[in-house]
Amino acid sequence: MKFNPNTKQLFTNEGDLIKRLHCPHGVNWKDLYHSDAIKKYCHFCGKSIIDTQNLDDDAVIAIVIQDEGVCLKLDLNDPTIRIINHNVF
Amino acid sequence: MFSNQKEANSLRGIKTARDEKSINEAARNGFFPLLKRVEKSESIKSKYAVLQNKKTGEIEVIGDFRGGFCSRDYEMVIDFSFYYPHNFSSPFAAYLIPQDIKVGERVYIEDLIEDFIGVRWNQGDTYRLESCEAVWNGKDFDIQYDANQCADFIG
Repeated sequence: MKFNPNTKQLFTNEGDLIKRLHCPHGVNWKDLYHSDAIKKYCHFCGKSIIDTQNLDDDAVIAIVIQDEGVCLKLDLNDPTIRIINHNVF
Repeated sequence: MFSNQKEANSLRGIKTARDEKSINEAARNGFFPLLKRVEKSESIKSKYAVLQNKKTGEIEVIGDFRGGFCSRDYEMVIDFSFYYPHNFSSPFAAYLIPQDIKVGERVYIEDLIEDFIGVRWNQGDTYRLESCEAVWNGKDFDIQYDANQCADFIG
């Protein structure tokens, strides 16, 4: 995957937009509690945030297709993510 | 970012207007526009490099030191450089202050005018904080800025 931290847009490796990350509550991952191995429960929205660490394009796309409003957590140092700072797509 | 998550859930949201028309519209609707200059901080910086295909001339823009740019077909025509990545159309903006706001009230600013570092990445990039909790002091907002941000993005 490719991620632009300036626009918060997440793309596939081919440049197709998966989703734009936006949290209106300014939630911090470290402040939340795990609900299972890759999820943490968000008290604001009443749903779980999914950690995309080590997930590939297909896995993340499947998650977003299943629920367009899903919340994701990205780590810039995740080896499956490449950072693009310029709005190239 | 929030001092207390349950408390933060009930905080009033403060809007920002970024052009003359929307600022005046808000004023007519009872808000007081608190005007500020839009000034870029030299602390906010993103890096990029440009690779060019030696045969086709096509380019690829990258922003990450990790792999992927060592190809025989591509050469780096612009080496990694840092720049300010935001373009705000207006040089001023305003927080829209509700008439009934109280001194000491804790609010949530959805679109910060000032530049604060939200995320520092260990490759040298520093990303702008988009929104933040703040406290109204009667004249301005005291931004409740937490400088200890990690490299996570949520949304």
